[in-house]
Amino acid sequence: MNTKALLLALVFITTSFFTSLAQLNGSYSPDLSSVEIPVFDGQDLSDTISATSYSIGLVQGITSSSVTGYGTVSASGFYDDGQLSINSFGGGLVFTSKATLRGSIATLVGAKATLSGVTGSGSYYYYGSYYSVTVSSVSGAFTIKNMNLDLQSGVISGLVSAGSLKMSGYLDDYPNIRRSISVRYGSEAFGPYSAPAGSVITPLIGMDLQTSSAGVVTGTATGTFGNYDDVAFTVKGKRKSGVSAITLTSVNPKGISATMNLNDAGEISGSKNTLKILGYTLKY
Amino acid sequence: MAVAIAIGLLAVAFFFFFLGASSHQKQRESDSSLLGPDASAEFRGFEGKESEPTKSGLNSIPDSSVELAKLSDPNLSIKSRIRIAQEIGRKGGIELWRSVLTMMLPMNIREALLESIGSSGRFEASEFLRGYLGDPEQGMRRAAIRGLAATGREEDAQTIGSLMGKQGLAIEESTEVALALGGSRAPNATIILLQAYSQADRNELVQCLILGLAQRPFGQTEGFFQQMLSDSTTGSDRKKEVLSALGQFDSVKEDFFAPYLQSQDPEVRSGAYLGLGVLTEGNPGPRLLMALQSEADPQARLSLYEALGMKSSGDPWAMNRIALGEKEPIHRILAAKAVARSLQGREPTDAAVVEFGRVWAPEMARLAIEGSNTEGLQAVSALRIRKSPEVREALRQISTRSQDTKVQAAAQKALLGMEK
Repeated sequence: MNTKALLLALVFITTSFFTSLAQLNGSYSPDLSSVEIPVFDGQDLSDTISATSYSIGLVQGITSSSVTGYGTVSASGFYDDGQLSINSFGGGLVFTSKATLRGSIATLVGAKATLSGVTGSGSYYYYGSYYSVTVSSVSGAFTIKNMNLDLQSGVISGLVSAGSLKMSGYLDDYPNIRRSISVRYGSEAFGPYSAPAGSVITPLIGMDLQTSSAGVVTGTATGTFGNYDDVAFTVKGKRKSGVSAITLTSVNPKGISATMNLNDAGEISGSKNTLKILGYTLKY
Repeated sequence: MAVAIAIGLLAVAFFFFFLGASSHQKQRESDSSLLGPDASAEFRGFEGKESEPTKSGLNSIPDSSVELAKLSDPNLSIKSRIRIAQEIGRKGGIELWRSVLTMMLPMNIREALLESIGSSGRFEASEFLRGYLGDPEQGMRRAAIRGLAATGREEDAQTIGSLMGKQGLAIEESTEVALALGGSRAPNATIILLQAYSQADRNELVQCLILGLAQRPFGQTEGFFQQMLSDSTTGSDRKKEVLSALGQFDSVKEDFFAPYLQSQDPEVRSGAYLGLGVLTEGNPGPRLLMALQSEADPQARLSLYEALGMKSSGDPWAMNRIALGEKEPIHRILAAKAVARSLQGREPTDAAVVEFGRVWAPEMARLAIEGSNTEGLQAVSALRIRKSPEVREALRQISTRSQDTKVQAAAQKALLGMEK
């Protein structure tokens, strides 16, 4: 080997050594404190609207942006026209909506709480006598418009649209004769409530990365998103011009992904970074 | 004596028959075959009425001095004050609106007033609301947008629609326009949303435009959605969003989803399952149960279980067999939720209900206690569907043994609800 070749080999080895030092090799935890994720999971909606009390436990969809809930509804003295009075009813409530994040507001769009398996009782006054009435079903839904979680103020509020419930029942003495009435209710404010702790979470992601001599980045990562902990990711990416563009894809649970641009110190670079979680796409 | 009573009853029956003839045709048709002459008369009062509940909102035109005093009364709840502001917005006039908006009131009261002015039906409402589109407070600008959408006037829809293309407009406002126009009565709202969709580039706005369009009459958007769903350049996740949104807003009937249940794309199938799951009308449960027999994609299967957790499959035993075959905790929990939903309307002594209490209540408790936060919350949610002593016991165990505070709280809340 002549001297020139030896020098070239030495330069190549030295350059590769320092380049590999600067690449992403090791453990990194980029600062994601500016990312705020609104979470409805585990929240409880309780309120009284048009003499109807309800309580719904929310669950955020794991395969989509849906927020659903199951709860109970009850009312006493809901209806009285001087002749017919519905003294009480109670049953279940199914809540469905779609969560969308728009700037600093998380909105539950198309939120409706549909009554399910609701029954009750009442009385019917006729010519000096009272007859007991069984309410065999109450059907209908409360539609909640503009249900927002303001990330800056931490307030949840909305508006329940005017609507009606259809109540069907029979006189206990004449169970074969079934009748129904439609009872209208007016529009009412929903909330405002202070969002419970944990409604807005900031992600933490720790990564173990390796970069090949060809600039291909591989590795694994583990994320904590509030109470959603130990989310495992696979990492793939490419280093180009001192920045590694990587993609994180969740393995368990599935459905969470992120794109990140990291400089050689493992810090977030630029503004074209996204995190897809719970149906939201967050940019940071 | 008997003859006299019979004559009396016939007279009452005749009276109510006559009265009933003027009530709603639809409801009279529904049950008239069940009527006996005397009993029908007695129960006619329970028919065809459309009334306010006893404790619903104010119905009179507000007495301004009294209402203004109430608005500023800190002893009244914010909710009551918002209700008064809404009444003033709907039933007051321009002078009253001005007076209220110059008062020192919490922002949400002012916003509620502004929004409800749009429903006043007053000609001057439009001009008044337009004046707030430049308000320094974003909340007030957004309330003015919602108010203008609520007037149902074409020129107001046009005014707020033009905002979506405005340079530098905050995303919270452009998306507010999209959502507000979705619910507007303005005849040109659909065209404005379609035009905005063709020009929108920000993901949040595109999402809200789809949600807005999904609220419009389907006859006006059918071509748009069908084209989007058949377009190979539209992303799978967007197609899923569209299908689930169309169900959420009841834009379409059950049959619309049928071709998408057969799609090769699991995301599209997921969207169709979720859309069917949130439809208010119809009985899509059996169709979803049938899809479950052949669905092999794990994520699509989860969507299917989510949908069956909202709509009864109609066959708890078939659902139970499938649920027992699931091994992954989250699949198992959501499948059990679908079993619980399938028990809807069954008596506590029904064998399928007893089986759920015996097998699934303790299993849900175990999975909630040992599992992740998501699994715990989903298990509690599944247990809330069906009240029984076994379910209460399962919730008690979760509320005392779960390490996750959110899961614990959810179980406690569910227990409270069941004890009422």
